[in-house]
Amino acid sequence: MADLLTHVLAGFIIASIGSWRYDWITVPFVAVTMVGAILPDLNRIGLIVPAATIETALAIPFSWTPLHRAGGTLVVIALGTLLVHKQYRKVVFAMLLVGATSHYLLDFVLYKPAGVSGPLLWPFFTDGLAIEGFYRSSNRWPAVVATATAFGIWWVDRTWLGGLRAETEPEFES
Amino acid sequence: MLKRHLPRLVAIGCCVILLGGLFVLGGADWPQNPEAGPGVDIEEPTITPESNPGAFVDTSGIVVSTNPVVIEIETADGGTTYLELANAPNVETGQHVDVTGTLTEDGTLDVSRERAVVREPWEIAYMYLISVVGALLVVGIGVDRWRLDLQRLSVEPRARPLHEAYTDRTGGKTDG
Repeated sequence: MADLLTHVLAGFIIASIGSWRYDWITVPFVAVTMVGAILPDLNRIGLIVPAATIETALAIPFSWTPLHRAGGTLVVIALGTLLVHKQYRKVVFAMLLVGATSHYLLDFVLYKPAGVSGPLLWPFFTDGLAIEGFYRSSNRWPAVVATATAFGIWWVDRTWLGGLRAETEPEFES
Repeated sequence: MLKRHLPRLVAIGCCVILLGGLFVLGGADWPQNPEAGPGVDIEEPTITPESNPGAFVDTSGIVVSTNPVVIEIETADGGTTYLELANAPNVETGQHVDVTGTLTEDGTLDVSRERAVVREPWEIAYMYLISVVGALLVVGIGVDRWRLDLQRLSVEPRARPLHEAYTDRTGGKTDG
């Protein structure tokens, strides 16, 4: 994974640019995109509750890794969508999906010594993709580039485009 | 009220069960180990390097010895295993390395040196620290723009951002 700040800012950048084309992408849904961008990293819950502990306690095979795979992320997106009122579900689903997709796109181009990504599309596709990545998760420059770009987008939006709209769109009301 | 929300609660329950099922399938390596990389999975406790000569390995670990270079690898069951590297890059004890290579008959990994990545311990610490910043940013903007509506049992966008309501109460608005 790239560092979490880079993922979050990538979500902000994509949603902000999207808002220039689609009026319904207002600030709350930019926030949703940023949440979507970190959903795959929910697998870090394993640092607090190791999978081995659950395996021992329940005596069943267990792994948190599916949270960082396409199948698990889709289910988490569905869960997140069901938590909001139905008038917002379509757009929340879309923006969570956009955020999560940006996460995987960034992770696919991480440098791996073997030149093969992890099987991020599990369980739909169980092999990694042969991609020669170009950055490491511990590199400092992705966060610097993402921060500078996010500030640039925010400045352009605020200065020339009047800033992101804060209210939600009535067209999503049931 | 519960009856009104029943279909949604059932759907949420189905998603939770489905997610739990994926955790179990992932643990059972079905249809395949979701962490599987190319070659032999040296992080699997049942795999020993000596028994897989010629196998390709893609792994990472912390350097615990430099002459010869030996790395400590965390295994899938939370334990540790050790792997000796041949043709290793220049490393120091405590550094983190990502390597690929081929296992030899004595269980040493003949490393593809030019593709190896060496990281200082502080680089790993940086990764976690900056990630905490990212997580706090998301939590902050999420709470600022969304709220829990107990009447509708759902999460809703706020009519006004939380920070604006706070600055109004404390007189911050008059500053502008």
